Amino acid sequence: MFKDKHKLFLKSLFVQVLLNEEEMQMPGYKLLTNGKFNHHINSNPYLATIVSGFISKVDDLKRVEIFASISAFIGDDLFWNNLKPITLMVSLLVYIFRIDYHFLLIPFVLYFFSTNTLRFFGYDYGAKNSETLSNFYSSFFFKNFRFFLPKIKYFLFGFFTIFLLFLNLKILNSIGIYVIIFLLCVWVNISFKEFAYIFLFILGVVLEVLFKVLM
Amino acid sequence: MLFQSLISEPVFIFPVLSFFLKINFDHSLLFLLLIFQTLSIFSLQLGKVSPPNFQMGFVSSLLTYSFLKYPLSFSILVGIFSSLIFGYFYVLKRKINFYLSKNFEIKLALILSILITFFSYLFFLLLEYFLLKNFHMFKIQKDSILIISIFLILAQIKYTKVNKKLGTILFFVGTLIGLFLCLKININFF
Repeated sequence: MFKDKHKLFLKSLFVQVLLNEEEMQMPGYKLLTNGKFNHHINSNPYLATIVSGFISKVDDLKRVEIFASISAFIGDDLFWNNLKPITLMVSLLVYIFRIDYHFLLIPFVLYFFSTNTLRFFGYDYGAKNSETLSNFYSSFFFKNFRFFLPKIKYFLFGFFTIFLLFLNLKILNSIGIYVIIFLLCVWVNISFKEFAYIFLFILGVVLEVLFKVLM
Repeated sequence: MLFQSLISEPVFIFPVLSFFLKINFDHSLLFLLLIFQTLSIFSLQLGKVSPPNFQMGFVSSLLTYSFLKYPLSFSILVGIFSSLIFGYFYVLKRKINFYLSKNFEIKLALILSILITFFSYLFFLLLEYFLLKNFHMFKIQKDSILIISIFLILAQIKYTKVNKKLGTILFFVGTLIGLFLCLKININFF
């Protein structure tokens, strides 16, 4: 039993490896369910074992699809909107108040144990509660936190934008020609979008040759 | 990807690794970490969900700052640029994954996919190391961030493009505090 759990845990680590737009995580789930599940599916990789436990008990494909989508929502809430902002806030507190760096271990331990415990015990939980799991999201206790925790990222992104502006101003202050190159790059980016990199590549080659000749 | 699944993104695990590997973790490194943690969390708002880009960005920033001894500001810009490049690689990788899963046995496809990711990341880091170490234009600018930064403008534009999902008031509070901090920050620190 313990060996099986271990095997499932290891397989669940590979669920996202063959992710592609056409099938999403289907190859990963094929491996996880030993070929039993062979349909388009998208879930949160941290909740993969819960979903595979659910699949083992439920044959209705529609229900599996709905549950996988719900798990993707929960995953976003739990990891993107709660756990990662907490980690960021701890780093910020350490940075501002110059607290000991070992304090950074706390969010890591939280992240490590929560994700891997979910992976390890998820299969049994999913299989045992397959009938009641449809209400999974409504009883999700982290839901209450999502109103304020994720907002920190907007605040920090504001800081990030101004920091980039600050760096650019620092460069502008040092070299006048940068204004022309900056405007040229902005124009190329707007006009050519993805092809702007060809321009960047040509610019790089020209600059390298120029420096080689001048030196 | 496997590493991320098992533990967490490098950008979140690095402080812990630095304790075990006895890397001197200082305030500059923490600042680098904060920038990439913000980007990693914000990747949902930046359009496509692609956290692996920022892992790669962070690692290449770390390489530039810790091993090649470039200034922090330059390292951050290089990291942001690498993140952008790997955004495109991630799209390509998804297409390769589809091809692999259609044409090979699942286990073999899995191994091939992991190998492709691993060697492409390694190749990119080695290329970055080679470019920064050998190119003339990088050599003469080693003590400043002047001309080289033009390469990083496109990446900056990409990552400061915001959409409707942005919480406007909080964003502006952030910019105001950022402005205050940038004016207070010792310019030589970067």
